Amino acid sequence: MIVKELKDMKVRFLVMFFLLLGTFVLLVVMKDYTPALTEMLKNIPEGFLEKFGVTEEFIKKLSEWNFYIITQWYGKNLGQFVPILAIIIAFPIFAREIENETIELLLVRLSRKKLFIVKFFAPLVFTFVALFVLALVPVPVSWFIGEKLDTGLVFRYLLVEMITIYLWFSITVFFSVISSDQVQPLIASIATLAGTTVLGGFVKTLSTLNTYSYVLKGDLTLWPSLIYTLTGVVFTYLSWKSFKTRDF
Amino acid sequence: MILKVKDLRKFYGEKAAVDGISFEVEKGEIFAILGPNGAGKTTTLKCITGLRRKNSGEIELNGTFTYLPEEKKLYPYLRVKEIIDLFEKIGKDFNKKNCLELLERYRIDLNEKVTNLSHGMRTILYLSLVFSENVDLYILDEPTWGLDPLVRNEMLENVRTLTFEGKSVLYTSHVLAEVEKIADRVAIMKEGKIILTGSLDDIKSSYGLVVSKEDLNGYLLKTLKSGEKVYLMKKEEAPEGVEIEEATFEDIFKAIVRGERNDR
Repeated sequence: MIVKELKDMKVRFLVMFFLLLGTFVLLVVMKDYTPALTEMLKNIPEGFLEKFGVTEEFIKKLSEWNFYIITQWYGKNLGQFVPILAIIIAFPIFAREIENETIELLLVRLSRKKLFIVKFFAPLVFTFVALFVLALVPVPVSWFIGEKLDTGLVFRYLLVEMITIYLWFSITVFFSVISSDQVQPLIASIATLAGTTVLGGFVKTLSTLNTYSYVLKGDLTLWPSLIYTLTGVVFTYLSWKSFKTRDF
Repeated sequence: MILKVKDLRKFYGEKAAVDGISFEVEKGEIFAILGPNGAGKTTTLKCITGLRRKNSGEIELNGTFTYLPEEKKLYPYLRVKEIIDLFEKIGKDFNKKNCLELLERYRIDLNEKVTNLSHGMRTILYLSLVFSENVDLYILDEPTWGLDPLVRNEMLENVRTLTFEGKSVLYTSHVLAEVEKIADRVAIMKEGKIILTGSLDDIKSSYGLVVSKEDLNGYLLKTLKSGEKVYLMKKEEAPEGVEIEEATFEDIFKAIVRGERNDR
């Protein structure tokens, strides 16, 4: 059954994994161009880049490997993709079986509880494995090229990304369980991600809704981490309750 | 008794898809549920298998079961051998050897992807998988739909063989001829209710056709060009002195399902 689940997610998983791995490789290659970038940015009118938070100090620091990887990989590329990765892996988990009516084949032969556990946790574990590789790949690369990397910060980012993955994975699975086709959970999850990010970004009292400010900063503080983890647990429970009682 | 359904009800909103039906399936018996589209046959089977939640009533299942759904949907991106591997893991006491023999007999390539199989071949594949599970009750929803007559007869033979091994079969079909051929007992459903149930021989012997110009207490089968009406009615309820013709099972089914009940 787990093998079947892996086959189901194979294409999505590999595309996302290699896309992100390719992004990292590109990022490493681009590192050598940061001095040239610094020179180029000098020609831009003064004060313009500051508006976007790109200060001279920031540009200077980019040439440092540790700062470059932390800000550009964890704080930008990988961090931005973390909720998307969770959504892409999770949206068809139940919805595809429901849409294709193959859920009947499984439910006749497996209890709802067992089926839910396998279908929920197998893709989640493999998403975590992908995240582990992608989040930790800078460590051996740094060692290989003889650069220093703050591994404490790397592991902090990894934990924050795991919490974010779990949150968006469980929200998307919930939409997947209650939907009758695959498009609905995809749209619902992306709309929720966009909506919460915009709301959290513009309304200060709702800033916790913006998971991007959490994952990009690697801010492993107690309350946001606890709130996101508990929200993930709540959506996991809701998914199970919906799956347990749903007609197929 | 392998299955007992008592006063089963299932609603979709306000509409009763299954409206208080009761029946039993005995060990070693083939029990067929017949009825027009929307009669509630598939919903009944889905309530029994647990795919749909009943609103009320009792379902007592004394043994293991397997289910062949009406749509016969399998994973289109998997190869036949991969589907067999899946059944080896999740199937109910699945006999791989038996399944491979069946598939070889119908020349289904194990390396073929399910998406490339015709509807008939997909039905054969699903039936082979289900027949290779060792359970007490086989619940089959339209098992022969889309099969050519030769394969259909062989599959019906397989269904019959199951009962020789003490297995029971609950199935639905639109094909009256095949029901007559293999079913021990039938239930005719209409609008969520069981209108008639019993053994085929009992049903056929207790009902007859009566031609009359008068309105009679029975199911109107048809009106003749002469204006006379043909009623299906219980022989014991036929007026004295009228001629009662033998009714075929098709007449009985048609009259009950499509005809109007005339309760004088």
